Amino acid sequence: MSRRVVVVGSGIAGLAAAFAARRAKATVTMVMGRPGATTLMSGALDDIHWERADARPPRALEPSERAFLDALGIWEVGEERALVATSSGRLRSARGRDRAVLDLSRLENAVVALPRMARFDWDADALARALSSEPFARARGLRFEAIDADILRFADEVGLSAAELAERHDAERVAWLIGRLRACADLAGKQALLVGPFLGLEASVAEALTEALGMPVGETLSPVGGVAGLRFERARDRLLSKLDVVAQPGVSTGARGEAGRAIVDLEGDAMLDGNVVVLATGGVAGGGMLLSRSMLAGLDEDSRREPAFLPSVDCEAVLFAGGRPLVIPSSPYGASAEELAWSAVRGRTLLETVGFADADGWGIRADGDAIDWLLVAGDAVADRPRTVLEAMRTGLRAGERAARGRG
Amino acid sequence: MITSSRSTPDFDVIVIGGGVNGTGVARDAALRGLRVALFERNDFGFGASGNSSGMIHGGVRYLSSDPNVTATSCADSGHIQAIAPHLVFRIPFLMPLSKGPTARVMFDLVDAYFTAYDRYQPLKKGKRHARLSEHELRSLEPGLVGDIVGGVSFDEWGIDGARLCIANAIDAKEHGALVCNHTTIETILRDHAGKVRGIRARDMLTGKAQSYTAHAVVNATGAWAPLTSMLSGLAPSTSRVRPGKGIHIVFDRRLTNYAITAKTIDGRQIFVEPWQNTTILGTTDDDYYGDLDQVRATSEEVRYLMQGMARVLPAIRNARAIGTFAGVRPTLYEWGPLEDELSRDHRIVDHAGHGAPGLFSMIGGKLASYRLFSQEMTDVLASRLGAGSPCTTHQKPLPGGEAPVSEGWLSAEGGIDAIASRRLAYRHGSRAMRIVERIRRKPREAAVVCPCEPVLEAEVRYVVREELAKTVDDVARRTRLGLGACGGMRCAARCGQILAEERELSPQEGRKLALRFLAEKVKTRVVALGPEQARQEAVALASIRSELGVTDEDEA
Repeated sequence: MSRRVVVVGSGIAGLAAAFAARRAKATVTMVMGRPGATTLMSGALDDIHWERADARPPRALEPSERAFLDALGIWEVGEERALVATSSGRLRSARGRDRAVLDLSRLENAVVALPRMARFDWDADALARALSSEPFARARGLRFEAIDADILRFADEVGLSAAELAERHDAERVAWLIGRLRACADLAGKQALLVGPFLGLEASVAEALTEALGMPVGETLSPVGGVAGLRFERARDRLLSKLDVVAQPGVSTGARGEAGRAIVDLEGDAMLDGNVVVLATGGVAGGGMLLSRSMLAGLDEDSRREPAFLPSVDCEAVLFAGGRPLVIPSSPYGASAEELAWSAVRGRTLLETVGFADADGWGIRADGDAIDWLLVAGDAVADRPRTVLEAMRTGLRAGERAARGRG
Repeated sequence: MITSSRSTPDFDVIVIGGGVNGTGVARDAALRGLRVALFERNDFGFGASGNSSGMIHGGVRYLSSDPNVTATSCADSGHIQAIAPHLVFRIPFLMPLSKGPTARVMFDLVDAYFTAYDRYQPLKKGKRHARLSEHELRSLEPGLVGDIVGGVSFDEWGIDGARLCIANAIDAKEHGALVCNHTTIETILRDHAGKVRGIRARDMLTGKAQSYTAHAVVNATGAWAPLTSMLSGLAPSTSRVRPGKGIHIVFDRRLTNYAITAKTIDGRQIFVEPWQNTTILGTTDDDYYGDLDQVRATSEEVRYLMQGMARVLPAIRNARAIGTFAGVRPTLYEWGPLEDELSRDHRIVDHAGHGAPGLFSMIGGKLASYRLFSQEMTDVLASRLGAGSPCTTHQKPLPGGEAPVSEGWLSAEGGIDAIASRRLAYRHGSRAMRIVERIRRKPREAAVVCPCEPVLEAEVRYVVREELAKTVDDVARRTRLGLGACGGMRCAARCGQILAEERELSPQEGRKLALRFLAEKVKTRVVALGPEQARQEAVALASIRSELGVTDEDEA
């Protein structure tokens, strides 16, 4: 009989874990709760924080990572780093990208056009100026120019959210858009077209435009909660049904080991059981790590002394940061809040580092022993860079181990 | 009359300090026809004026100790309502009284106290107090807990202190004054006889220095006053204040219908008030020994206030705190009394007595009586200079207060939503029409830059062009951009971009302005961090990393 794996969390780490566990012939149930960090993603795929990336050669992908990305089908990770534009006018490198995001890494001495449009989140002239003055652009002779090519179709699109506008990009709309851009005189002599982050809920829209116009067409990165995250969710749901993963809607409140089984409690008294649990509930941004209420509660009747952060899923494992278990501070009010400010500390703060220990991916009890029914993945792992590719990697690893079992 | 032995000086009066007193004097003197210059080291309303409880309250606290302060505060509160009606909003207070052996007596005493306060209410168009039963209190604010014997209501007025400073500064400018923010004074120049003859100023953004001469120099620098006096070679004791730090916590919405008072563990009175579209919990009063340019709330101060308010309104613990602000009161100096017991009265120091004729310091005061204090100061200047017409600052409206503005008109003409037009009308009064005019000329400036507040692109450009905003923080002070729940995540970068355009800076410099704002504001938010806002902070940090990039260089 195959092993039964319960994956808690439906972001990139949970999906990668489900994929790897299914490949290893385990049965997988995924607890799908609230949207987390992957839904908020920008469309850039990083393995380490990009500001520090340039000096280091990119890590080559492992076969399992390649297989997963192929199965997901919406993300591109090449041999070299991609060069992408942010919606606030930076040009940055990324290990990979959502395929709808324009990759400028292959262009040199080229002019990139940005269509002017009256949208609230798009100022083509300001963006073109900012991007043209970026060091990357200067080094490669890239120039960005705003052009007159209003690619909006209806009056309400000026104020529509990026997601709603993206949703309008069906086949008929794409044909209209191609016609519109082909007729655009200003586009002649340009080598690429950079558009706001609303080119459809599938990467195929950007690719169809690229092919039809004979020049790379793509988006800037999405601001938080934009279309890149939506595209991930759609691709995820397709992949989950292809993999025969049982989707269990709900929010997990606790996980425990009982008589050789792993039990996951869900809100509303429901529960699931399996041989092993993969906790992929995210870090603070994703909602997997919660700041303790005691930070503001103080000495109420029902207050408990506890560390500054707690996992959203109550389990036997303890949280770590900086390579050590989080300690209970000598204050009933929790840790020093001042030190949570990212601008007040050098490097990364607890907001970005707190999580379960990652010695081999197994959760660790307060006594230091590994828990044989609990694996952790993604931003729930302590002290790892909170990036999409890192979450994917730890997810794949946790999924393989979950299917195999410990020892 | 003072006469110059040499040529006519550049100005009659140089005012140092862009708080409510400095901008108030600059406006008054300019309205009276004096030639005025105003210099502010940071921004208008950067210190206590822009970080107060946001009320022009009548000083009910001082009724028994300082009835004079109560009377003048109430009278001047009325004047401010007349000259800046758009900036003022009613805040009804509830004061619950706890049960106890002396509760009935206390209740009668409080009732009598507020009966006395009622006498002053007509001065500020306030309503009389009401004596409320426990049942009435709880039906007005169902969140109240504890053994309450009853309580009273009383009426106060809220105001945006930073906007009040800016309105005064702009009016001074429009009446011919030279008005400079981000300009520090390096030296107060004196002649061989000790008489003040001018200042040397340095623009903090460009680094350029310039000297100006004047008949008189007014030190209106609040808690910085002793430091300013030292620039003239005088001892700090010549304009001593007792700096009292006060902090406030900001919540993401209006939590209550009424402002509610509570007692802290050490018996101090604190309050929670619905303020603009937020709720504010304040305040502390502690002697301050730190850097005046770097005043921030600490987590201990936050916990002290939360503990006090939770005794009567426990739901405050579940509310979402989105930030804090802090300022330092320039209270009149006295050794001995507890901070709360210090007088909020004000005083003008003529430094002729210290051998520096021509230099004056404005010490003490409070937001509600700034206009009167400014009038008194300007009266002294006008009589010394033998010039100027009578004071008109209680009659002439501040910019925006000239005429009522229709929010419906703004919304229809500008094609902007009702909430945005309402906020615009609050901040700018009739001058909101100028912003809508911009939008009619350039419809794309109706774009929402800060969705939390909300703030439109046209308003950002307007405050840069017309209200001397030079940094993202300056724009935030004028528009409340970036001070909402998202912590500037969605607006700071765009605001920096617009600033760079308007000020003809490079895009990189615009980005630096945004990062500086974000890095500074996060320090004011984390001290009040709860579980929800912690998640928002982590999302904001991830977003800033992805969009802008946080390098060690930028963080420094």
